[in-house]
Parts: sequence; structure tokens; C-alpha cells
Amino acid sequence: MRVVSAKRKSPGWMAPLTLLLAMLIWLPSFHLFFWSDPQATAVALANRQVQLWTQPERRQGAIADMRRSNAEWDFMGRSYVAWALAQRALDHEIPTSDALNVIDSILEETLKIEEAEGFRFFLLPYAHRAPYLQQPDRSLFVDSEIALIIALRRQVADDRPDLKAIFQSRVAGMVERMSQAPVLHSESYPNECWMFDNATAAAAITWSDRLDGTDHQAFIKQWLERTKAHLVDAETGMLISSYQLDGKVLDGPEGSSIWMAIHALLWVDPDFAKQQYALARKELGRNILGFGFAREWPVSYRGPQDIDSGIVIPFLDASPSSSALAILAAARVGDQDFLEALVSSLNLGAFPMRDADGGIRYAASNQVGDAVLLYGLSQGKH
Amino acid sequence: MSRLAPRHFVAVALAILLPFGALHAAGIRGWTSIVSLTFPEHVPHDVALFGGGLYIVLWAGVVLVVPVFLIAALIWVGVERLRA
Repeated sequence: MRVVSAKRKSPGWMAPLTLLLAMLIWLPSFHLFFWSDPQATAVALANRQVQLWTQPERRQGAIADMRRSNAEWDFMGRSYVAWALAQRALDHEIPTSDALNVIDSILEETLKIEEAEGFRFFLLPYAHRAPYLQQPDRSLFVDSEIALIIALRRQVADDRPDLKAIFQSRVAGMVERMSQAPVLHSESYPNECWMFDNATAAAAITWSDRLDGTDHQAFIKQWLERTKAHLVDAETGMLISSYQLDGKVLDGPEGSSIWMAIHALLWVDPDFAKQQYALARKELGRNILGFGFAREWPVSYRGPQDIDSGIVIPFLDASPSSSALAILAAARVGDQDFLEALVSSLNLGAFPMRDADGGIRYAASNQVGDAVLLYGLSQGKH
Repeated sequence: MSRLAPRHFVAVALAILLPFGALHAAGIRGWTSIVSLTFPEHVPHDVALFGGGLYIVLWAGVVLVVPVFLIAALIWVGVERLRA
């Protein structure tokens, strides 16, 4: 075997040239090493989340960690797991009985806490600072998500009259409050409305028509008209994220809100939802060297970095929250290229941690983040 | 520049891989540090802060720098063999 002599002097251009060639080979192709099948990831995420809900001591630890940061995460973690398991049961990805066991235990515990502690238990502390403008005090954040959990659960099996009654009561309450609001959007916090929650409420109301034969078509039509007229950012055409009860803008378009709203609006007005997706994809979606991510804000608007946006990565303006929720929207509209690019980024930057018993979690995430990813990756068949 | 050789490229790769492997083996993962810096009320502890930050820097090196230097070393060795 011939050995290159160590004493032989290489030309000076050899080092930069070989480095340049190596970069040209590696950079366009290294995303392939971080590709994974979204469905396999969803199975592992579901294993982990089901374990959390069937092993109370593990769940309490995960919930306590989140509540130290944000009580909303405790609530949303429940919603996303329940929505995801209902979706997976509908797609025959898990046995119906397994899904219903977990969904029902989530509902039972959540409703019990709400009754004992009040809905503010699941809100940030500033929910206590003032009464709601619409009385009596209620949060559309809590009502809309509970209603949507029951709506999806009833599609799996409509065998619980008690849940049906709770669903009908929540829907009637939401419609009443939204109907009385100036722009037909109701409060999640005192004088603070969120597109995230109002779109979820509109989805639950739409499901009420399909499940129970109610007729809210006129209300939904009016709600869409007011939404398009008053709650769209003039610069980008995207839905804004938060506003006062009278429609005065608090925060412009945000990734952590728009992707979820698109997911919900696909049930309410698919054409409008797809139009919003195209705008959000253009304004917020990015793909660099095969790795996808989503910005929290469009270039024309910059909001505050907060607990919703997560840590926004400098220079790229990549937001973990926006990127995780973008997985949900991309999967729902069937944007496979962006979905796979987002999953590659997840594998690169979120540090997957595999359990011995087949579950997966992400070191950069927490229970609610993993639940959002699970729900997003459970949309694959749509 | 002319004193550089493929072995130096391999040395750069090892200088990143070895400390990264040590942190990984110790169970330290990234991101904890960034979360902690931005929301200091949720800081787990200083070791995670330092180790997590270092882990992220080294991880960027592992995925971006190490393969480039190793591929470059391979190309260099191949070219030298052709020239010999």
C-alpha cells in the first residue's frame, strides 16, 4: 500500500480548495441525515404521552414543571394530547378503547379541577387583575378547548350523554358571548381576545352543527365577515393574534397563533384557511439547506419575545413555538415538503431523547411542546 | 498555509468530537441553557447552564464543522495519492 509522504509539501491552495469542496458536498446534503418518518415519530410521541397519562406520578412531575412557567401549558398539554389521540383513533392508529381511556381521564380530571379551582387555574396570573368586560367571567381559551376535545372525542364514540350535554352547554355559552361582542370575538383574558381561541371556538361551533344538527351557519358567516373586516393585518393580509373586545389590535400576526388558527379554520372555512396558510407560509415559513423553521413575526411586524413565542433564535428569527405549530398547519394542509423540512429541524435542534419503553421526548421541549408535535404529526392522513 | 496537512483537519474534528462526546456521555443536552438565560426564574442549575451552552456550541461544530473537515481531509488525501 502506498503511503503519502508526510514530508511532501502540498500546494498552498490545497487546504482552502478541499474545504470549499467539502462544504459544497456537505451543506446541501446534511439535512438528509436528520430526516425521519413523521409517522414513526408520532407513534413514539404517542407512546410517551399515553405513558404520562397512565402513570400519574410521571404526569404530575411533567405538569409541575410546566406550571412553574405557565399554567396555560398545563391546560393546553391536556387538550393537544386529547385531540391527537382522538385523531389517531379516527385514523385507526391506536385502538379506540386506549384513546378513549386517556381522553376521558383527561376530561374528567380537567373538568374536576375547573370546578374546584375555577377556570383561572389554567390561566396566567394576570387573569385575576380585572373582571372580564363580558359578564359573568369566563375564558374562551378554556371553553373552546374543552368543547373541541369533546367534539373530537364524540367522533370516535358518541356514547357519553354527560359529555354531549357539557359540549352543548359550552357551545351555547360561547355563541351567546361571541354574539354579544362588537366583532363577534370573545375574551380569553379580561379585555383580551385571542385569534387562537376564537378560531378554536368557531371550529367547535361548526362541529356542533355536524354532530348535533344545530344551525349556526348564519352566525359563522357573520363571524367570518367581521373577522376578515376587522382582524386582518393590513400589511400582510394575515390574521392578527390578540385584540381588545372592541377589536383594537394588541398584537399583530404571530406564528404561535396563526398556525393553530389555520388548523381550526380548516373546519370552518377551508378556502379562507388555505389562503391564510399561503400568506403565513410566505411571511413566516423558511427553508434553509433542507431545514425548515417558522418565524414568530413577519418581517413587517415585530412583537415582544414572550412565553408564547419561546426563545427566538437570533439572526434567523426562528421560533420554536411557531415552528412546532407550523408542523400542525403544514400537516393539515398537506404541505409535505415544508412538513419534512420542519421535522428535519426538529431532529437537528430539539434533541430527541428516546425512552427505553419506545417513547420519545425532546430535550428542547416540554410536555405541551411534545403534545403539539404529536397532534401535528397525527394529521398525516389528511 | 502550506504547512497544513490532512491530519490537521482530522485534529480539528477530534477537538470538537471529544468534548462533545464527554458532555453527551454525561447526559448533558442543549437548550436548557438558552431557556435558563432568557427566563432566569426557571434556571435549573449552573452546571446545566454551562454544560448546555457548551453542548449547543459543540453540537453546531459536530454537524457543520466536523463533517466538512473530515470530507476535506479525505479529498486532500485522495488528491495527494493521485499526484504521487
